[in-house]
Amino acid sequence: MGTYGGDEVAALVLSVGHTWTQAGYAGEDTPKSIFPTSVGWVDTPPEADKGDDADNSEDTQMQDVSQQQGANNDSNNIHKKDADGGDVAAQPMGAGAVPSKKKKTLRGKYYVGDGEISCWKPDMEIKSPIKDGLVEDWDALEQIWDHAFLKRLRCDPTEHPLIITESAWNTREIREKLTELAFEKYNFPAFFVAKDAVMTAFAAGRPHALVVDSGGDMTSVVPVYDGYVLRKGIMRQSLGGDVLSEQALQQFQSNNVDVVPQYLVAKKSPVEVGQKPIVTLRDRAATASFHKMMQMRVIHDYKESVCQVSESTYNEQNINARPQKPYELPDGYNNNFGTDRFKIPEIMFNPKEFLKNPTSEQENFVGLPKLIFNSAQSCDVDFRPTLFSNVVLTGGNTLFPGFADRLHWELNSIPHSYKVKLHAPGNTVERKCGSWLGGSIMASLGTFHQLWISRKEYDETGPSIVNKKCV
Amino acid sequence: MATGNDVREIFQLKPSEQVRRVHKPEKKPEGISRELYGLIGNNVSTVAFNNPLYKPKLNVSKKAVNWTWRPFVNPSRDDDLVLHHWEKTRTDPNEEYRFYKFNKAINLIEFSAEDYKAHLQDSDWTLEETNYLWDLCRRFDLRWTVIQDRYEWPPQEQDRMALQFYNGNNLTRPSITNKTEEASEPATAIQPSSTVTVQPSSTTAPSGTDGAAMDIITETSSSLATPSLATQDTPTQEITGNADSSATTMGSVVAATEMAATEAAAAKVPAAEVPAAEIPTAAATTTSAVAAPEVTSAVTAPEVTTEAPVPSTSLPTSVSTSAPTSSSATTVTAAASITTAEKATTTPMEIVSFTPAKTRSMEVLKNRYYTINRILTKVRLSDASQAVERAQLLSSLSYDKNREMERKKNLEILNTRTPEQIEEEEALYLEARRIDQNEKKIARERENLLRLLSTRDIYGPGGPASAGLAGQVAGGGGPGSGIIISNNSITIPSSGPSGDNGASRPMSPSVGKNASGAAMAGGTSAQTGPVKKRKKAPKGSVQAEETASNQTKGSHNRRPSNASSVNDGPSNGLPPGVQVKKEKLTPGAYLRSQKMTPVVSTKLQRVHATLSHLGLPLKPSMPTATVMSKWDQLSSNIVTLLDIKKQVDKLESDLKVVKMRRGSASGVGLFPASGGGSGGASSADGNYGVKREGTADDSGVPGQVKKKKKKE
Repeated sequence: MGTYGGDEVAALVLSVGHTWTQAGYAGEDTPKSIFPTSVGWVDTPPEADKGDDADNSEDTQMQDVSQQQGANNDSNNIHKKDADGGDVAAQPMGAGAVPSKKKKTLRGKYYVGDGEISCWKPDMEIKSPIKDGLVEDWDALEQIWDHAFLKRLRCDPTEHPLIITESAWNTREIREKLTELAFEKYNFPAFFVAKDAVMTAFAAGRPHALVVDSGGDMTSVVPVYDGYVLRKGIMRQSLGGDVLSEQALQQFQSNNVDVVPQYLVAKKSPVEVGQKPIVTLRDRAATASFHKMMQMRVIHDYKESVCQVSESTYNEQNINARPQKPYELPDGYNNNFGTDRFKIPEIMFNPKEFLKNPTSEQENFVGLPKLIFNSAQSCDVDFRPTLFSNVVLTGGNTLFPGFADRLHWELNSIPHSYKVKLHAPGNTVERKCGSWLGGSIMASLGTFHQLWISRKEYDETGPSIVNKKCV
Repeated sequence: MATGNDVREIFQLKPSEQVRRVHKPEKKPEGISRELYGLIGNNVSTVAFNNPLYKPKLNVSKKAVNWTWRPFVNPSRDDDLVLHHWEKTRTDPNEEYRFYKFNKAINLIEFSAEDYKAHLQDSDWTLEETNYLWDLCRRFDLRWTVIQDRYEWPPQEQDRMALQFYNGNNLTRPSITNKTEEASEPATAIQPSSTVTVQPSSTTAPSGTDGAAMDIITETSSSLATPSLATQDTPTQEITGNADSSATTMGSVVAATEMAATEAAAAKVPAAEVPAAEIPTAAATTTSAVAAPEVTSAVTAPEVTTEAPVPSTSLPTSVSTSAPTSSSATTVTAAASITTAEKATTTPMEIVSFTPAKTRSMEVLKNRYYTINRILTKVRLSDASQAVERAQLLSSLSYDKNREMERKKNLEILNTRTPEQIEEEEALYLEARRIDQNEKKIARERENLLRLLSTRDIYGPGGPASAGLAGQVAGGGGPGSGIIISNNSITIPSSGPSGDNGASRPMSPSVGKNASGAAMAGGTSAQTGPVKKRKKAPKGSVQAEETASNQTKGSHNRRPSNASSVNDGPSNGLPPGVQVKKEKLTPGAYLRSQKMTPVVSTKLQRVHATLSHLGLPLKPSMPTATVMSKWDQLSSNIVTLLDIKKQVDKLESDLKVVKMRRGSASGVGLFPASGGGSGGASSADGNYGVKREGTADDSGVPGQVKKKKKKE
């Protein structure tokens, strides 16, 4: 036990990413629970809500407003609701971190977890509370915490210290709110916030690393020096798996193929390759966000089973010689995919050429190798060889076959005289849960326990203590 | 070998009663064959049996070790956080936490404000900034990469508070902290310098900054320096305007005032300035105002209330905003800081203007750190007794900033070479190596050649000419073209009157004595030449030689003894670097025939052929000393001649090859076809120049040999 410096204190490790949330106990090699970060909710009708807490007149007023806004099921409206809600909530609650009841009435019932959100319900909105690595929607985040601790791990938060991961560019406000949430609502005895890049480096067993994290929402490159993030070297862009999925969807649409998600399919018959599907659809009205998520789920499966990265520079002729792969959509449409399946992940390496119909933001995307190179280049010249020999690859978007080979090839073709060494765990879980794993390792180290933020320290200093202790 | 019993005997003890057990091999009974007995007898089996290992059975009888879920306190922590872990029940619950010993902190050299004033002044640094650097060093354990990454002076609010934390000051609950800089990408945080200078009387300066959001921080300037004041610093007024994404400039004015009552009026200056500066901010902010109660408490700190409570307290509530910025918005911070002098006098503010949050390069930071360390080490270890320690410390603290910067610059260049550049460089390197190797080869060849030539020179009649050649070659030759002169052939201890051919080989008495001295030193001669005389000899010998050399110029090269060669080494016309081979003296009694230099067996055949060509017998018929010495000369000359001939043949064939190649490469050829003969060959490079001279001299050799033969 003492041989590897471990000392288990039954800490919980929580890593909330844009797409997936991982929760488990420190010291284990896999999270106990992995579920989508996206939460669903159904707006409660005002009449029903009045019955619940009719004593609060302010609530009723709020609901009216929400009802008007909720009339059109546009996800953009949710932002407005948040803003308004935050406005009202802020005054009595101080920093506004402790969520108000009103928001709950606004949204009604929440659905968290794979089984709940992927089950069709009319009027259910779906959204991920994390955007660009930052928490956007605190109510939804709270639901996730609830779900993770109470429904999945089924533990008593007052008995376990908690360590969570955050993005390297997280803001101070968010960390303070997280701290407040941990201590005020859940009463954790101790708490810590770790940078996910550092944790990934830790999981790879490296004190210095250049962590390349490509997730659903975004891709980031973060240099880590001896367990500290070098802020000036952080490079990121919102080019992630979701953009790729969107492009794949566009690819289908340009071929006049409608991607029908599973929940709409009642009955299907087998058809020949490339023929129109023979399908009976269910009459299920759903919100746009739900439909989108279910479509993305199909595309996600398509990406996982078919897409591949060319091991060297994309060459149409070579790609044409590669074997095609068959894939069948939920409605029975099936086809063999050749070059298309290479074009999608190619966006990661050459967005200028392969990204179709880019938005103004997307036009500025650069390829991943360039991003990595820029990040390393902004660090001290003495440190660069170390960075290049410790490139750690993580995130679900890097799991395309051939991704690591290609990245290695690209990094070597950029003119420099460093030796590039890519660390890409072959194990899928390790690749997906890199930061969780690092947190799990770190929180079970005996030498780590002096770093926890304790309840006492929080009471003395307030939430801002997190900015001092977790650097 | 002493046994235990011997020891006992020495100590006069009884012999041990231990019965010596002698392993007595059991005797094989009669009538049983050896093989059979080997099988049935109680002998040790010759075959090793490995008992198959099964999974060990559960040992039910042995009690399992008990483990307990036990609380523990980590002494590394300031607070008494109780965590739980599993421990073996039998361990002591009060034992110190196992990992406490790993909690190490680095030892930084400390300095006080007095130290700073006395020794550490630097025009580029202030005490506060130096302290800030020191705090970063402590926080990040001298990880310079991280320190440089986080270095921002004046420090942001977060760092300031963290510094106080690390400085060990007790923190009160801090005022609201609304900073958005972190949200912006660090790389894009460009800070334009808008330096603001406030004169004591004029109070308009802060409004002189752009009408964008203002961030005004009032603090005591000595917060970092003096801990007592740092506690006053905690109720920091901070009013942050959060500009929306279009208005991306945020000016922050850090007005640091000493909270002395006498300076209350001075403290009022930035406070009074607040309203004017804040108005545009309020208009610009679109996010919701989150006013924390702490702000008001912070602003109404007792020190401020006397003079400027009204304007300052009214502002934070109306203006302070807190919202995570939209991350796409790049927030550019312009922090104009105004620091008042920290003198607690009644003189009005002495304004020091700062450029906004500046970063410094790692070399500058390191240089500052090491310089301070060096200075303080020098000052503190000034005793003579600590000189050694001090020297060691100082050498470990040396840091050359310029060299380091130069190194990094070069490293940068090195690392950003294109593949073409790398290729070219490698090609050049290979070329250089090839040239280098050729150089060595040429030098080696030249050396061999010169050895051959100079061997002849010693005996040759054209002394000055050949000496000139040697000098010329040695001067122009490459490294390692030393000339070794072997004078084996004159080792015959001819101390006595030296034969009949005194004309050709004049042996002055002094030379003779000299030679005898040398011979005697070898212990070979029966002569008892006085040793003292030998010491005197050189002077005479030099003179004698000068006269002798008038007669025969080559003679002065024949320095048989080491003594003479040492003395007239410079004067004998040999170029510097030319070694004179020492005479090999055979110890003990020997035959004269042993003095003959043996001819290498590989060349023996050809030497004999040459001798027969000259009409000489293989062995001299009258082997007197003189004849033998001549004979020796002759044979060595023949060897040399053969060598030179060989060399000439080789070079000529080389030349031919090169000429053919040149001719085929460029038709006519770059060089005029020179006479293929040895003498007049004009060659392209020095290599051939040497050869030419060598060949030119070759012509003399046969003549010489013939001459010598005639002498015989």
